[in-house]
Amino acid sequence: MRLLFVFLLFISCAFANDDQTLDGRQWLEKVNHAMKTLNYHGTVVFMKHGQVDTMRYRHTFESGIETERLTSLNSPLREVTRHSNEISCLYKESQQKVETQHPIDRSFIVNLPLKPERLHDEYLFAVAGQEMIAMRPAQIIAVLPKDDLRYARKLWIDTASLLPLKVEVYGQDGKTLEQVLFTELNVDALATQTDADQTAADEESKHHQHVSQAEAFEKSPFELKNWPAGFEKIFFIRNTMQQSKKTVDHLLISDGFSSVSVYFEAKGEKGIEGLRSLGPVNSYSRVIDDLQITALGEVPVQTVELVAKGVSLR
Amino acid sequence: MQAQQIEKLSLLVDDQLDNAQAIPLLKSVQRDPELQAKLQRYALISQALKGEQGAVADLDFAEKLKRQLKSEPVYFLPRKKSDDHFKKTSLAVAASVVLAVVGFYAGKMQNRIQPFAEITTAAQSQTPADQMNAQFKDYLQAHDNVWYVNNNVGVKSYARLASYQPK
Repeated sequence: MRLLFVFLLFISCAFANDDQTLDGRQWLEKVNHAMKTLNYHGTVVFMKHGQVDTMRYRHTFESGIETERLTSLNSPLREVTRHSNEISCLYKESQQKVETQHPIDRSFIVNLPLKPERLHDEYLFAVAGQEMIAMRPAQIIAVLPKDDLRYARKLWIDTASLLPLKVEVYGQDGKTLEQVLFTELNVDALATQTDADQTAADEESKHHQHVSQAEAFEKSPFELKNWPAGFEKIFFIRNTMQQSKKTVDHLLISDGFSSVSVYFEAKGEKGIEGLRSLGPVNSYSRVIDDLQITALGEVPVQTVELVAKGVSLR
Repeated sequence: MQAQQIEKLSLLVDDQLDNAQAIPLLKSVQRDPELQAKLQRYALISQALKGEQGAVADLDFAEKLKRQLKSEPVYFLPRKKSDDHFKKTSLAVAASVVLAVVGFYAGKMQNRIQPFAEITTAAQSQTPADQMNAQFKDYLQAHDNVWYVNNNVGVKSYARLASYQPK
């Protein structure tokens, strides 16, 4: 991990553009804003969990509301739409439609913190040279964790539109865990954005991104004593699971880049304990009395273990 | 050995020699042990190039095999079935014991490298894999909407369990 850190830092310094006036944190702030407020479309390749998916992507921003639409180009044909925090997935072959609602807005491309400066102690944001992606000049920003509790990542940012053209997430061994890559990107003509639109967008963002129902967790029978520095409680809701229809209490904590869900549900016949992994996603389950607790997220194993072990009953 | 004949041998192995030339060549091969050795080498090289795996055998391997088959005694007496059965059973038991020992040590070796492996098996025997997978999938879906991007929620029952380690 340290080797990777030093290596990426070296690369960052070696390729740093002297003419560049923005630092890594400023780049991230600008990307965050551009991603939410611009209208753009293109073709995106997702490489996650050992799968490669190529999809048409369209992002629109109207009346302060973001909509993302992904249409798969290969089987199984499906269209995934996110309208603010409402997500629907239509499988064209079976005509099956899955609809769900996530308490916060989360982009299909990449999630970034609203205030990167808050993460000064947890991450180093380094400006690391330029490359061409999808025939567009891109500025590389390396997001390097200062501990072993989160993954490193790099963003290739379109210098013209400030949109992310490519994102790579690296495991602790330095290997690429996942990639999102635009092979083609078109920025649509700017819609006339009124002040009302911007205000609505800001409100929407505040509503969905900020700690919303943390107070509900404080009143719950659960307590989270340990979690990684830089993570904040984002929401705590009672949720019905899509498949099992079980009622599960769901706490989400996040540092803006990475997030960890903690699930609390009644223990089944046999409690599940231990680690599970799927690509970059890790989960750690434990049982306290009749309660099944699972921490899950796209974070290293030790992070989910730390969070799950930090749970106690009041 | 004439260079011309060697070239013809090469063509023969590549199946590029016409019958008119192949028949006299094969007659020459039949007479000349050096040509026979050359043909066998060419055939072996050809096989190694065409197939993914090559096999190395003595040049007179085919000849030895032929001689061995000729010298093999032929038994017309009926064999005792009980002996045969006993032999087969003994062989099966011996194979099972060897397999069990190899499996045991392989498992131990594997555990030294991959401490989660033994626990994976234990965990899976404790809890049905389907139940764990369904729960994992539910949790993933609730965790992140990106789940819908590259997973066939409506098609596959999912979930591929990569590893599992109880505490």
